Amino acid sequence: MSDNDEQRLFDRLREAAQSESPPSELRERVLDHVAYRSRLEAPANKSSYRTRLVASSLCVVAAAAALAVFIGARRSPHDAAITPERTAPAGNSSSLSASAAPSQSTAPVFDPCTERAVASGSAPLIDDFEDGDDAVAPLEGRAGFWRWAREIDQPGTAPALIPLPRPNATHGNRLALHVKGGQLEDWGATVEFNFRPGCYDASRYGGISFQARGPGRIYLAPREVSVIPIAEGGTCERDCHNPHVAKIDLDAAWRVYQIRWSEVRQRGTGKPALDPQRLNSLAFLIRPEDTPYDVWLDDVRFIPR
Amino acid sequence: MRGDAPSLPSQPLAILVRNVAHQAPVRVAGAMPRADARLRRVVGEHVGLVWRVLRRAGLSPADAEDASQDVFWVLAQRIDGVPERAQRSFLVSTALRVASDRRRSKWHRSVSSGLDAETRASDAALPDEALELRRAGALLDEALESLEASDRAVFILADLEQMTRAEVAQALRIPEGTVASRLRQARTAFETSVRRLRAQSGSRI
Repeated sequence: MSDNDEQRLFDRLREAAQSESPPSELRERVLDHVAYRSRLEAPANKSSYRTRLVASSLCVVAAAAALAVFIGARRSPHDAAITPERTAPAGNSSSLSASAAPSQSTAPVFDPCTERAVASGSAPLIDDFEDGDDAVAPLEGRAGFWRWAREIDQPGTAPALIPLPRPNATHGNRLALHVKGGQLEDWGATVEFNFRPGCYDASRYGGISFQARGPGRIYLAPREVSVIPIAEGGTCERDCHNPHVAKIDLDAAWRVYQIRWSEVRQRGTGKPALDPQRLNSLAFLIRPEDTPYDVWLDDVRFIPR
Repeated sequence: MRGDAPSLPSQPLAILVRNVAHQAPVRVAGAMPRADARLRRVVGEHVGLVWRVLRRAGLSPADAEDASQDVFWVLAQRIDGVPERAQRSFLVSTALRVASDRRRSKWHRSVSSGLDAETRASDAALPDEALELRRAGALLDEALESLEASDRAVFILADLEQMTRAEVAQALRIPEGTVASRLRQARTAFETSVRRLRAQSGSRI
């Protein structure tokens, strides 16, 4: 190869480097991202978050104090000395009975569904995102905030989700959720919200419907309190985080997907069907093998029985 | 729509749910504010430069998109403290740091870069000119991989982005003499690598 040829080659390589241009919409995406992060970092949000945090902490302290007083009032010094710890009866279907756990763990599990909201079956919309915020529609006692979490986020740093202008928007349907990201290899990513309070009865409905655009694959996961560990507000002690899921292969165009409760299943054989009376959260999961991902979601609602 | 039998291992989902369960809800009401006019201008002027630096620093297109957002977010937080004349070097140095952080993460090492190489190697039906540029791009990135990180940064900025020695020195916070010596080393290593790669591949460019 002559010096001229070589020089021509290196010029060509430089040309290739300089000719590569970013995706046409990157500028707008960057500006959206900055505006979005700015909103999250805004003093108003920080102060309201701090207020909630302080209020939550006070509630926890107050609850602990009340519990301590309650226990103290019920337990006499004699009781403490001579009363054996109660054990759960053998054959109890609850996983509490299965292990010879230390006495501290035999306390009854708090059932989050003692306080729950119940859907009447008359307002199926969960969120159409047209209000431009990250809160689910406040219908039938539903409350919660959409979140997008990825394996690369440190705990507490996952971005909140606010709707973005939808491709091919119409006058009545302008906004949708959009998540996009690179290759992941650990557990992937999720778009989800938790019902508040942490148990929701959706048994008047028959399943979930939503619009989505890929391409790609997602898993719909309505999560029961029974798959959430006790420490995280659920009732699960074993084989936790094994939600009922349905695999959904998305199209490159918008489509409406309908998933009935009977179509979501847990990993493993002989597992019970989903109990829609005890929902803790609703998640759209993206597995690492399905990344990079570029998913739009819209018009999430319950469907009739 | 039928749900196929799920085969999700419990541990990844355990991590997934744990991570999200501890996050405080963040309520963001209303429409997003319009970006600061200065920022809009800076993004418009430099998004291409940031993108190319991220790509030449070894990120796949999908990763470079995410990283571009991170880079400009860093600038947005400090835009009052970065003089206009220093914005370019600030963005470039931030891009190199963000790219380096991403490349160090385990998922990038094991998956992302491999996928990108495969994508680039697959020649679709392209016009000759575009096809040759694509092959040149693939050869360029492969050759860049053989450079030391410090030399690579200098080479990207000085030779590929045509920044002056003073600009490179400012961006990388090193003396101009160091820029010159690293650039010499980088050019030699790059040319050697290109020759070797062409010999191995039968030289399609």
